[in-house]
Order: sequence, then C-alpha cells, then structure tokens
Amino acid sequence: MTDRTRIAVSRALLASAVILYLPANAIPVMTISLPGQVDDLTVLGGVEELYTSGLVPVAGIVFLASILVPFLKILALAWLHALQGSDRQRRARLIIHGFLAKVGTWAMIDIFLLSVLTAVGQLGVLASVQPREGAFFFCALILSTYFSAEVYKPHLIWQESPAEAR
Amino acid sequence: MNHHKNNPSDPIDHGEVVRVKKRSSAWVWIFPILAAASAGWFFYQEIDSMGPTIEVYFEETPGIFEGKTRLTYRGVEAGIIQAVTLDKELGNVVVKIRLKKFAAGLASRDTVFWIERPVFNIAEMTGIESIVVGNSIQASMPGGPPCLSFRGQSKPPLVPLKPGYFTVNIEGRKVPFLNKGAPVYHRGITAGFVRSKTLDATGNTIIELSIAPEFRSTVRTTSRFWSLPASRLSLGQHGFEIDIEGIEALIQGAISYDHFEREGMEASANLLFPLLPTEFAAQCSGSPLKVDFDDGRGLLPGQTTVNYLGYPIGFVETMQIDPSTSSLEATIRLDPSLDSLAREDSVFRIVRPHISIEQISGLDTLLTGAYISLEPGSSESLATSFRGVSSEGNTSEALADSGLQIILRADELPGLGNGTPLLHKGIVVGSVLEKSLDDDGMPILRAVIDHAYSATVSEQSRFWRVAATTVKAGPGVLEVEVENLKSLLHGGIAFDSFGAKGKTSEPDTEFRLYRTEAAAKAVSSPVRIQFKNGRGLAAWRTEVRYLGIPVGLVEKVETKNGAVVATVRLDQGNDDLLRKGSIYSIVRPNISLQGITGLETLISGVYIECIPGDSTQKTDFFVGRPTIESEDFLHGGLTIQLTAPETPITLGSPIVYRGITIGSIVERNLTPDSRGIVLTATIDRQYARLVRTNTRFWNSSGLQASLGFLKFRIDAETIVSPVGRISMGTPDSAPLDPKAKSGASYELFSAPEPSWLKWNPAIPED
Repeated sequence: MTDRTRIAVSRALLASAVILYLPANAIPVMTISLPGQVDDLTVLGGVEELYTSGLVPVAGIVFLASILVPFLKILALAWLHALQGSDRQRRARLIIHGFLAKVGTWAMIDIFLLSVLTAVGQLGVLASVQPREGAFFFCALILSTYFSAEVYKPHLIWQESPAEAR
Repeated sequence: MNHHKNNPSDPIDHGEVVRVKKRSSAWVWIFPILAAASAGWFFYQEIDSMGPTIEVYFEETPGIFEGKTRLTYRGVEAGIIQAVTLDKELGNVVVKIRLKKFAAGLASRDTVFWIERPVFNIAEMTGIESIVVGNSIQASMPGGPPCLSFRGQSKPPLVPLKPGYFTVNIEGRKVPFLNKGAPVYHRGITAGFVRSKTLDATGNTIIELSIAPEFRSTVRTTSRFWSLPASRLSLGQHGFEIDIEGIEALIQGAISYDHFEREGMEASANLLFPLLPTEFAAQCSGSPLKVDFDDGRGLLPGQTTVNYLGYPIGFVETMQIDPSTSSLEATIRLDPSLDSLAREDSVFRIVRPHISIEQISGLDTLLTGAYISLEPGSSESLATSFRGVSSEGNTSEALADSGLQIILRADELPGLGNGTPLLHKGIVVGSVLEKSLDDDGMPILRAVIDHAYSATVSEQSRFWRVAATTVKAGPGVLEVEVENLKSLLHGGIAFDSFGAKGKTSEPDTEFRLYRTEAAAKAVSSPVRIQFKNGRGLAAWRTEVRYLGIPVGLVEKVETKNGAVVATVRLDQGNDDLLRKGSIYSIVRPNISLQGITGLETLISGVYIECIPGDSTQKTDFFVGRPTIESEDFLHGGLTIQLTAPETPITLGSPIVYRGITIGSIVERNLTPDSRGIVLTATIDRQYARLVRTNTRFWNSSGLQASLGFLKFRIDAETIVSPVGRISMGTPDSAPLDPKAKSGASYELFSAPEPSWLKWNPAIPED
C-alpha cells in the first residue's frame, strides 16, 4: 500500500467514523428485560445503568473506552490529517499517534461486555438481554477508528507536503 | 536511461526509474458511503414505521414510563409511550403514544385503552405477563372515525357479548366470592359465565349472566339461581363433609340454577331472578309464610331450616323486626309440595339447645344451629301468617315452684348465675334461680332445692362455692380437680352440714356462702391470735394445722397495736385447741445449718401450726410464738427457764446431754427486771428425767478443740450449730435429786467447772 493509499484509506475511514458516531450512540445497543421492566439501552444508557447499579469503576471504564475515546480518536485523527505534510508539531503528532495505537484495542470493551451479557443474561422470563441494531453501528464505529489509526503509519508524519504530489 | 541500456559494459544495473501510472484511490470512499447509507436506511425505517401520535387521558398511570412502556393490542406491540405528563389542572395524566404504522387504525374513536397491571387475588389472576414486561397500556375494539385523543379506562372492558348468548340478571343482597368469568352451572354442566357484577340504585347486587345459546331452554320462569361457594365445609352429626363443585368453582365461586322439574315458561332475556344462598333454599320455592316470634335468638336468614318430623322442608328467607308489635317477623318458604302443611293451626316452634338440671333437649341444634319445628295442625284451611313459639316455656318459674327456696349471701359472687347447680355430697339437688342485689347492695342468690332433697338443708348447713377447677398444690402433690362438666361451665355451690344436726330449714332462710369448703367447715367461734409478724398470712387461705392436718382457716388478718391479729375459725371438734396455753406459731420455710424445715410451705404457703395446751380453761385469744419446734411440744416435754446475765445462745439452740440433743431453746427474753436474759427451753419428754433440781446448765458453744498427744480433735458439732449450744450435767449424788418441774428456773453458766465434766450419774428410766 502506498503512502497515498494509506492516507486516503485512513481519511475515508475517519469520515465513516464521523458518520457512524451519531447512530452508534443514538440507537439502542441492547434490550434488557427484567421482571417488571423492559429497557432499551444505548451505550450511554448502559453506562448510566452500570453507574446506578453501583458498578462505578466499570461504568467509568466503559464510558472512557466507548464514548470518550472514540470521540477523542476522531478528533486526534482529524488533527493528524489536518497537519499532514506540514512540518509542525511532529513530536506531538508522534506521541498522539502512539497513544491512538495503544488505546484502540480498548474501544471494543463495550461490545465485549454486550456479548458476555447476551450470552449470560438468558434466564427466560426472569431476565434476558438482546443485542439491538445499535450494536452494529457501534461496532462499525470502533472498527473505523481503529483501522483509521492503524493504517496511518507514523512515518507519514514526517512526509513532506510535496511528496504527496510526487 | 537509454544510455544505460545501450552500454552493457556497465557492470552495475542501477535499475530504471519508471513513472508508475497513478492509481486512483477513490475506492476508499466506499466506507463512508456505506456508513451513511446504512445509518440513513436505519433511521428511515424507524421513521417510516411510526404511525400517528395519540393522546390518552388516564386517572392515574402506575408503572407507565416514557420510552419504556408499550401499547399492546392483541398481544402485539402497537406503539410506544412517548411522554407521560399531567394536564394543566393536574386532574389527569396525559399519555402520548406513538403508534406504529401498522397500528394506525387504533387511532379511531371507539378504541378502548386501559392499563394492564397484574391482579392477584384468589378469584382471578390476570395480567401475569405484566409482571414480566411491566405494566402496559392495552387497546381493544377499534372502530369509528379517526380520532387522536382518548379517555383511558381504569379497568379492562367487559368481556364482549358473544352472538347468541343471552343475558339473565340475578339480584342478591350480597354476593361474595363471585367474579367476572365465574362459571354458571346447570345440573353440573357449565352453561354460561358471570359477565358483570354491579350495584343497582337500591343497593342490591346485580349479577349479569351470559348463558350459551344451547342452554336457552333450561332457563325458565320457574328457575331458581343459587350461589355455590368456592367450597363448603359442613359439620353435621355424620361428621365433616367437604363439598367442592369443581376446580374452577373452587377458585372463583360459581352460580348454579335449576327449575327442579317445575315447568314454567321459557324465560325471556334480561329477566331478573333472585339469588338464593344454597341449593336447599332454591328448592324451597313455596309461597312465603310470615311467622312472628318474640325471640329470634339463633335464627339466621338463609340458613335456619324449618323441620317437619325432623326433616328439613323449608328455610327462613328473611327476618324483619316489626316495631309496632315488638316482634320478629320471619319469612319462611317451604318446599312447594309441602305448602299444604301451613295450616291455620300449625305451630312453628324454635328449637334451641337447652340444658338444665331437669333435662337436656335440642342437643342436635348444638351442631346444626337452632331450627324451627313445624307441627302441622288439623285444620283444613291454609294460612300464610302465624304466631311462632319462641321458647320452651319459662323454666325457672317452673323450677321455683318445685322446691324449697333459700337465699345465699356473700361479699361477691363471681362466676355464679342462673342455673348454677347446688350440690350436696356430689348430687345435684337444686339450682340458682336468680342473682341480684339486696336492699343494702349486697349480692344475694336465690336458690331452690328440689323437694326431694329439701331435707338435706338444715339450719346448720354451710354453703360454699365450688370453683370450676381447683388446683391444689402440696408437698409432692399437684392435684387438678375438675368438678362435673356443668360446674366446669358454671362453677357450682355445694353445701353440707358436716355432721351437725339441725332442724330442717324453713323456706327463704338466709345462708352465708363461703368461698371454699375449708372456710365453710371452719365453723367455730372466732379465735384471735396475735403475731409479731404476719408475713405470709392470707385471709381465707392460710390454714391452721394440728399434727399436720388442716383444722381451721384464717378468716381475717389485721394489725392492731403494732401486732398482727389473725382471726381464725376452727373446724368442728377441735375444742382442745382453745385451751389456755395452746401454742400457735407460723410455719415458714426455714433453711439453716441445723436443717431445713417448713419446706412444704414453699408450695402451700405458710400455715399456722398449733398444739393444744393442757389447761382446762378456754380462751379465744392467744399470743402466737415466733417459732415452734413442734415435735418437742408434741411430746409434751418439760419447759424450764434458764437465766444468764448475757449469753450468745439464740433461739433454736440445742440442749445436749452427752452429745445427744434433748431439747432446744424456744424463747429468748429479757428478765422482768431487764438485768439479764431468760431463755425458755423445752426438754423432750423422754429426756425429762435427766433434768434434776440440782442440774447445772452451761454454754458449750464455741470451738471445742482438744490437742491430744497424737491427735487433734475438733468437736464437729460446734461447727454445725453456730447458734450456740447448751450442755447440762447432773451431779453424782446417791439418791438423785427430784426431777425438775415444768417452769423451773436455772442459772445458765457461761462455762462449766472442770469437775462438772466428770459427773456421771446413773439415771434410770422411769
């Protein structure tokens, strides 16, 4: 893959991440049925549910990994692409890029939680957890940001602006 | 580049820079396009599936949440609650529901909305699914022009009428245990169901029944409807009987109907029938008969039966008080085939359980409740209005004539009343007629003794109460005594003259009613005994015992001049105890190193022990002694007095002779001149001979230890009698001095002279 392709793929994935961010957070990711109540939970609703049920640390992790981090990743990637070819802030860009690579794997924690919940939470009439359409959008969002950061290799930071034209 | 190619001698191939054709990377934009398309498609689907938004007004909406609660129609999710708000006046809850597109038809005028919630009671269990999915709003019966605003119902709508079913209304005073959907039986077959249960304007319960078309012909104008309780438990002479109509009826109750072969017209729809309490009541469809009673005790409308020859043929339908005649009017219905028994001179008599000393009657009514007995007359003409007989005649009046009347007086008369039996030696000989207050406000009982037994009452008779149960506790004995069954219910009165002969009593003689048999027996003139301390004495309870046998009872305990005076009455034949010099002493539990005495009083309470004196004079006042070594007195021992200026010897100290206890100190006082102490000692009768006129007494208390050459000896007896001990010795003189007389006085020495210990006279037995 040429550098140009990498940049193009990364940008395309970034764009799809931006598009997916809204449905991923607005459409319920799961339906929890407990005796006396049926709840559709979005990602943020899930965090709230975890928080109110007393699992504050878990809620914190899920909130960070599922909502804040994808948002920051989108911002960071946009920033990297905006400065592409420029010779400014190269050190900061490198650090940010390293951070993106590290944190990317954590973003799937919500999907992981959902799959565990769906598998475990099948207690017939007492309780059941069903995944909803939102989970696909969320999954796609996470994959888009992940690969967008993955395709963008650190050496591209040092690429001179004309090189793209060459 | 061509230069290099054309020069093969050049050993190094530097390659060739080829301008690669610029490949388009536009394909990468498929990712954002896919993302946008799928998101757009999803949102379009969501919006497309939405129907109109409707508003439903409810009184209250428990368990309804925005965004969570569903609208359900025929079990299908037809919409979702968008908002739950209150209207401006706070009088209603406004629920905004977004219908799904396929359910848009629900937005029509006739649709009924209600809140489905779990209902649990023994008769119905509905809305089970709401336990799982939460309360929901339900809709049904759409129809009519489109409409977006509805009024929600608080209850689910009635089961819709099915075609062909026809409606029968039945009316009852109260209809417990019947709910919507309860089955209606005709001869055991389910013919319909209860459609609704409402109150009409007059406050009667109206039950609407739906009867299936194929049972149309079974509902006749002569049909009678009765309710089947969920289950019936009847207790009769033949034991218990449980009657369960069916598992459905067990939960819901049911209604049954039949026309009992009395053919009538086929009933038209919406006819009103009365609801009868039982099948028996339904069968008794004869014309109503009015019977007036003075006393309707035990009659229960709907339950009390009318019996003829012991067999139920009718029942009491209603009862009404007629204030003008101050009587109770019972409406009775008989089995129509037996209506002919209601003749002009027929007698309706209430039969109730009746227990008296003469007879027990109507015992069957204990199980079945009172009933009305019909005794048909011989008249030809029928009647519908009767005068009932309420009771078996006034028994107490009859009784009063039948024997000797006496009056019993007491301070209080608990648990005694009319009919209380009078017992003489365990035989019921009479009964109490009435219980009243006399002119002075004292309770009196008028009692009657049967003529046959009137001779048993003499002027010497003593009456006492027999408690329903008596619990007697004594040493080693706990006795519960239950007099016969009747006295268990009422208590009783017993009397006896305890052997005293007397004239046969005149009518209306007054007698005193004693509390207990012991009190009644204690008939002597009062004897007063003064005690320093009356601890444990209780009037009517503390006994006087002689040789351990109760011979009297304390009647009164009072304080007088700083002392306790107990007034005691003794049983007959105990005049000896009134002799001057008789000794009375309170026996209380006493635990000391010398022994444990009076232990039985822990259970029976203290008692007064007495010992008759030997004087011939009699008195009725005694000074009680604080302690009594009764056995000593019983043996009629010698009483002597010992004087000393000062002594540690205390009451109860033993007097020993050669280590044998021969007597003890029973009294300890100051000498009349207050210069010394005088101890009164009793010497056991068998040892009285040991005490001679020259006998010496000394205090041998204290640790007596002698240190021998090889042994160390402590007189153990000094340890167990820390109260002190008196020893005595008599000098060896050839002819012994004469025996001491009762009341003799001796000096008590504080220590023996050594020579005294060597005295060893031979004192022969008498």
